[in-house]
Amino acid sequence: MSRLILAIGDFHIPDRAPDIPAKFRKLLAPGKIGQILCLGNLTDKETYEFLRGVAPDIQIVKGDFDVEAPNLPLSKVVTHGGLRIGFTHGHTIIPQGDSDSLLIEARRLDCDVLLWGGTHRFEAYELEGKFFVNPGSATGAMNSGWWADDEEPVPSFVLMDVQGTALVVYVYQLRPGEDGEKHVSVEKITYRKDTTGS
Amino acid sequence: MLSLNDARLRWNQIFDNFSSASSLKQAISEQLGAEDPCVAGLRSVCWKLFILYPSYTPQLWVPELRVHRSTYEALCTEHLTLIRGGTLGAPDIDPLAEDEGNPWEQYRLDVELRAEIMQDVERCMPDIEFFRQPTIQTKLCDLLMVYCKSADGKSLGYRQGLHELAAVLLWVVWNDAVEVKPPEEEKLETLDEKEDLMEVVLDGRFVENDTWALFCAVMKHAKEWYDAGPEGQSGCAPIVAKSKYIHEALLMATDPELAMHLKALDVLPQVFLIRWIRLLFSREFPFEDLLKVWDALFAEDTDLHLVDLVCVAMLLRIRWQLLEADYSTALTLVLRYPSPLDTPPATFVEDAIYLRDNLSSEGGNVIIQKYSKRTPSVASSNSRPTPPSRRRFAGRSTQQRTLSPSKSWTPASGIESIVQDVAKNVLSQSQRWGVNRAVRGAVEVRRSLAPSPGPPIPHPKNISSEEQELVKQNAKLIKRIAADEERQRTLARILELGMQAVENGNHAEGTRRLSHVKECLLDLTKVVNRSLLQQHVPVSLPGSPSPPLLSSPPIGTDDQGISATRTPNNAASGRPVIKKVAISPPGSFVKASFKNNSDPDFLSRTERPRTTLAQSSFAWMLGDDPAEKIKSSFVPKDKQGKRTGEAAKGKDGSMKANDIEDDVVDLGELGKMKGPL
Repeated sequence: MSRLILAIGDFHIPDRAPDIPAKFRKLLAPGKIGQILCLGNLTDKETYEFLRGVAPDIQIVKGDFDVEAPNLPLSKVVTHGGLRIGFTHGHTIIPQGDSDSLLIEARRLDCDVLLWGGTHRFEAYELEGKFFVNPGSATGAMNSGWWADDEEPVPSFVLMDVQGTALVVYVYQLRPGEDGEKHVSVEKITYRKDTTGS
Repeated sequence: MLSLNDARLRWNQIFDNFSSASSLKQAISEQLGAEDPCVAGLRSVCWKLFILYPSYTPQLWVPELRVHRSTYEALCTEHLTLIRGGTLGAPDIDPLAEDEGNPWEQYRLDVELRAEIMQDVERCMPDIEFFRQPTIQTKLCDLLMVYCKSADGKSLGYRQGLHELAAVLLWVVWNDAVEVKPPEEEKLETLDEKEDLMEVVLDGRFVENDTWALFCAVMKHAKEWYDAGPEGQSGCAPIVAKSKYIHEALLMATDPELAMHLKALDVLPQVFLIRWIRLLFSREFPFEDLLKVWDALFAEDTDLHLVDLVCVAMLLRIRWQLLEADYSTALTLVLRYPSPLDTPPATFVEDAIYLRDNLSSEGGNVIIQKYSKRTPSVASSNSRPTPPSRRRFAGRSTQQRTLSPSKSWTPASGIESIVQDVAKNVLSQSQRWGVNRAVRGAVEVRRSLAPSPGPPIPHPKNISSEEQELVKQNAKLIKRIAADEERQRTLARILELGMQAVENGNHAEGTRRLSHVKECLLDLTKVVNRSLLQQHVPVSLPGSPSPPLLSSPPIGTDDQGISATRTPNNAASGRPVIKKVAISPPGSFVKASFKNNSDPDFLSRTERPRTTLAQSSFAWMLGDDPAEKIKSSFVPKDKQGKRTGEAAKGKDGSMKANDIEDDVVDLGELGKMKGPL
């Protein structure tokens, strides 16, 4: 089984977006990924089947629009290597996307890495030794919130590779290039858990 | 793992008692029992000596040992880092990119490979506790993986079976290893004392490395056994050619009778030899015995060429059982090789060495006699082309025989082989055309017709017309049989003339005739060349009894006659002929009825409640086209027959369906028997 972990969420298909971008679909070929952490708002069954095809091991938490699946948990924790990775959709964290509230949630879950969604905006930062990642929306679905003029949600997801206590995060974003076409850009962020402290 | 003291004792056992590698080999071939240097001493050291380091003095090969170990270490870092969760060499690579050189793609393949290897490793030698330990399984998996990915095994990849070879080696190396305290670097550099040398050689930290080195050395020669041959042509694999060679050259040379028998049974050599050879007999013998076999094998011949002859020796040991066996018994014998009770399996290697020096039927006889106290009679195998046990399977071998020229078998005796061929062919024809089945079918129809007047018969008209039809066809067939008998007689005469010509020294003439007869028998539509009858050689009068050669298998002549005119197109001629019972020779009729008795359908028929004619087993006669149906069920081998049979099954009652199903099942079994070959 592959050791790559895919964190993806906020599809909103078909309400707000028609489908996962074709370029993302192409990248997410079966067999490459070991586990999928779905951050909620999967909303439709076809997308679920697609993800199942990408990797059979799929962990889902409930988003605010997953009305058809009331039994999903609000948050989950998985352990990979020396890291505890917690993930939640984040609509129950108030104020939404607030770093202090997220820190409280991370402590509550006792995890080293917290993934959250709901804002449709990619974010990654370290706070008090913990790592916070928001993979954004896989479809770039529109969202309420404070968006600057001519700013639109960028379709994105993240791929994680755990090496011991280090986490390498690959960020995939579909950004418009100079030629007007949209291109997938990949960035890499590395987080290393501080094991020397308390 | 051994304690340090025990290891030292054993180490000295080897290096004090034996002054050279040859004396060590000598000791192993003598099979000293408890004194055996592999038992009392260190087996892993012996194997290393034989396979890896031909120079006897450890001082000389320790540097080489170090090289091996560091090579393995390097290969491990090269090939296993990724899978062990380490960082990638080039970190700034998109894991999802579908480039050729993407290390993530490589990683994905590695993961698959490892899963495949692990699956085999986990169920390897299930009865040995040692291989159930996760650490051992990881070691085995790692070293197999390194082998498959390194230059040695890259072309091969992983093949099932490799794990068993590696497992045995690992077991041996592990058992002889000693726990060594991590020594200071300097001490390693300045080694002269024997004791320290021993610690280095048997260092428990390098079990995996040493096993890998041994494995690579063994695989150097074993690799071709696993080679699948050119893509898509599984028949061309070297192992298949090797099996053929063992059977047709080695076994043929040592024990022609057994080789012919196996050939007649159609037990293809690769069916069992692939496993014997690929796993180096590790499935054939108990583990302890296996180690001894390997001892002897490695001591004698590191190139493993001896393996071929070991296979021959194993076949010779079960010769008498094989000669009495039919197809399935023979297969069971060779696939579950009976472990010899009184003699250790290492004697097979001994025999093989003997055979290597005496590769002849005399050599084979010596081996056979040695273990069974019986000598095979060489002459008998030639005079009797098909002993009874073979007859049953003659039908299956014909196809192959016609395809592959018999000359390749016994190139020495040309005429003899032709004569043998002719006789065999005659026998097998009857099987191939299913004459017996037709006869049996006819008998059954008669039988079931006889008691039917009891209950009311719904369609008496049909029955009588059916019978008339039968009688008509009867007459036709009898005519045909007469014609065939005539043809047969002509052939017999040509054969006789040929024999006479040969006796008179006119070989060219004789061979021409004999091969003509052969061709006529093989090809039933071929017109007999009557010009061959008119020769200056004295001709026997027409109508005289057939020559002795053909009369010896009388069964065949008749059956041959029936089938002679029948080509696949007019297969319908195998129609029910009640009279044929008389024509059919006693032998085959007995067999047919025997088969009949074993037929569950037949047995249960008597107990069945009487049913109406429409439901009876011959209800198919009442169908739309009765003649067509008869045809189909009496010649079940005919595809067309099968189809109509199945179609009819749908229409008519369940009884009839049963009957036809039986035929189909029969066919299926035939197919199955041929299947794995």
